[in-house]
Amino acid sequence: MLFSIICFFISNIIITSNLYNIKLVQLTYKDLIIFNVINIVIPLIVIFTNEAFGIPGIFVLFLLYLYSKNKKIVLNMMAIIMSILIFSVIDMICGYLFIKIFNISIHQLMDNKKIYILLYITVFILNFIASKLIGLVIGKSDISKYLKQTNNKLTLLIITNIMTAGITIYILAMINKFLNTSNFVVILNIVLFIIYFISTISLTLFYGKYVKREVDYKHRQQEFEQLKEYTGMLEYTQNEMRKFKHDYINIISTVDGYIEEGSMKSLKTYFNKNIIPLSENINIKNSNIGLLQHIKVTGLKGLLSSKIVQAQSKEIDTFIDIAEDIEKIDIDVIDLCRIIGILFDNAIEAAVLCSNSKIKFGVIKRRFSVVIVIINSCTNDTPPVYKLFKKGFSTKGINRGVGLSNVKEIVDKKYRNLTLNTTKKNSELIQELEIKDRGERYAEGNCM
Amino acid sequence: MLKAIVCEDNDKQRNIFTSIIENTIMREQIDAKVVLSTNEPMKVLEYINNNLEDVYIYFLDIDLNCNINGIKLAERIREMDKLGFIVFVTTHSEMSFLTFEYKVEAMDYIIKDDQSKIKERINSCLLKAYERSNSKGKDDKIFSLKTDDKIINIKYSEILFFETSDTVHKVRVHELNRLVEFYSKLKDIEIQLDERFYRCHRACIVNIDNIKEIDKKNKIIYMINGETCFASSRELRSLVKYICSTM
Repeated sequence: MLFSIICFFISNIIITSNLYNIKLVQLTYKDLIIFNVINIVIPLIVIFTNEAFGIPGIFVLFLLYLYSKNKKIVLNMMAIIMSILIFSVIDMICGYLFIKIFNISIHQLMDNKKIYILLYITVFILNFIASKLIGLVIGKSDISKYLKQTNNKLTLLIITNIMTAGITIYILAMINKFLNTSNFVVILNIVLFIIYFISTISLTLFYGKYVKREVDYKHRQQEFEQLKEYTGMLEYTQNEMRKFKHDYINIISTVDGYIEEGSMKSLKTYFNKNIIPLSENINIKNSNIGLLQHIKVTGLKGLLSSKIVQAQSKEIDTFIDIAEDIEKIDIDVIDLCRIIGILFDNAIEAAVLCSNSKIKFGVIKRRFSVVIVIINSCTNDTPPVYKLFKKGFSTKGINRGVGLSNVKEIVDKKYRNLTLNTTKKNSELIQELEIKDRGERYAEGNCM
Repeated sequence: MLKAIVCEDNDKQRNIFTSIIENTIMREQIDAKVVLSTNEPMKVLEYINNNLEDVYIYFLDIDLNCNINGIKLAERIREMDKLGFIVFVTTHSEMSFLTFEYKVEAMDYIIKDDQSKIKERINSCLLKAYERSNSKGKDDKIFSLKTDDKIINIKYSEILFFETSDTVHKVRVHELNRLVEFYSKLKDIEIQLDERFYRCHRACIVNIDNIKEIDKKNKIIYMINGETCFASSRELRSLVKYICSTM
């Protein structure tokens, strides 16, 4: 009795360590402790009821706990099922090999404690290695990142697939255990298991790739839209210029008329009334969008033009400063656009609340880096800087506040050449994103 | 002595600026002098290259009618003179103060179009530069760190704590109203700090002066602005002892 509880407990521990190693969900030490409590409770329940409740019990409790923690169903399910699968596959293979090697039946194996313990140790070691390897593969392929982002029909399909297959295999395994089955059925079971295992993993991989492609496609679509908007703006400016040229000729001839007449007074009134307001208008409209010509990174140009138009349409006084050509920024353009998009949106949202709304935006090329600065006016009750980056923090209620924490995640985890500085000073919030060039200089540095 | 250099291609405007500067120096009786007033950017570079030790304030036009513009000139100046005060003189349409600030750490800019304010602005720039050049060292202690493209200066009293980030060698400074990141190592930072800083965790150096309270049970340090900082249990005990001993 005690022996079987311990065995059950050990298998649970193996599953937990798999869950930890494959790293689809990040677990803290606190989580591990709670999992181990579950691991102890389940075997106790099982011996008083039925052994068949074990694995489903683990599955449900782990899932409930993880869901309460991170609110993600698919990711958690995949992680737990994968852990259980790894365990079951290795357990089955080892069990089969042990039966062959020691030439005994399943029941003899279960009765012989020494061999049984040996079996568990082997299973544990193999599990550890396998899950570490799978964790490495997953870590390299960004799958978890894309799974975290999306939620659509395909996800539902995958869940159903995993659930049905899981249940089927579990029932089969239970039948194997309780009825005396022939070796053929056991082998068939193992083969089915392995096929299912491989297909699930490849499905996950393909799904990740598919989602990635979809995100890329959406991004490109958006970029295209923004560029269209930008071209529209340029055409509009062009038209304004043409109108101005036309006006200009009219003005010159009118001025000429006044000079001919020699009436200084009417010339003065005409100048003050018609010419000065005209030049002011031109200053405001042209200075902004035109500077975007310096940005040679196409995706960014589109995004900026759309954000600037958006800011101006909300009657925010927008100042743009791009003095030199920006040929290259050492960051994936999709990430750059995400970061700048979020920062700019935040700036617009904050600036709108002020009585004197202002946004200043600059891209500055330095010798070894590019700095992007976004400054917005903000009200005095803007929260302190350190709170802005906390996940889930938002000025707009709960379930918001993913923007800045996403920015932080990209800046911190994905790149080694970005820094983001945030300052609050004189009712202005200043965000400076510095992107260092990853040129040969850094390659040299790494060689040392 | 503060040495002023003016570089402007328009003779008339240059003379106006120079005389305003000279008048200000006389009126305010500051120890300064216009040492060079020219339309050729190369002469500026030549001059400071020959006299590297001095403290300068530069008044630079943006459009110099030459193969390099004022911003490029300022960049070249910065390569030689890290601490000089650069002031740009510019028109409305050439205004790009973010570039001035972030590229060459210009102190200020003066807009030419606004004739009435030129005098006032030149005056305030001169006084500010003079004050700063004299007050060095008297101020609150400053944490200074040189990176490839800039120098970061932070007053000790504004620092809450340093922490490492998820990226290797990236350190984040939490200040009262600012978060600043740079590439360095806590170990190297620890050496240059004074006794008010304490390494309370593998990944954290805290400024004792800015601690509000310490929660020993949960190993959390509360800073004066409400921010929190973690400490390891071993270091926390010695931190408390350390604070008690300095009081």
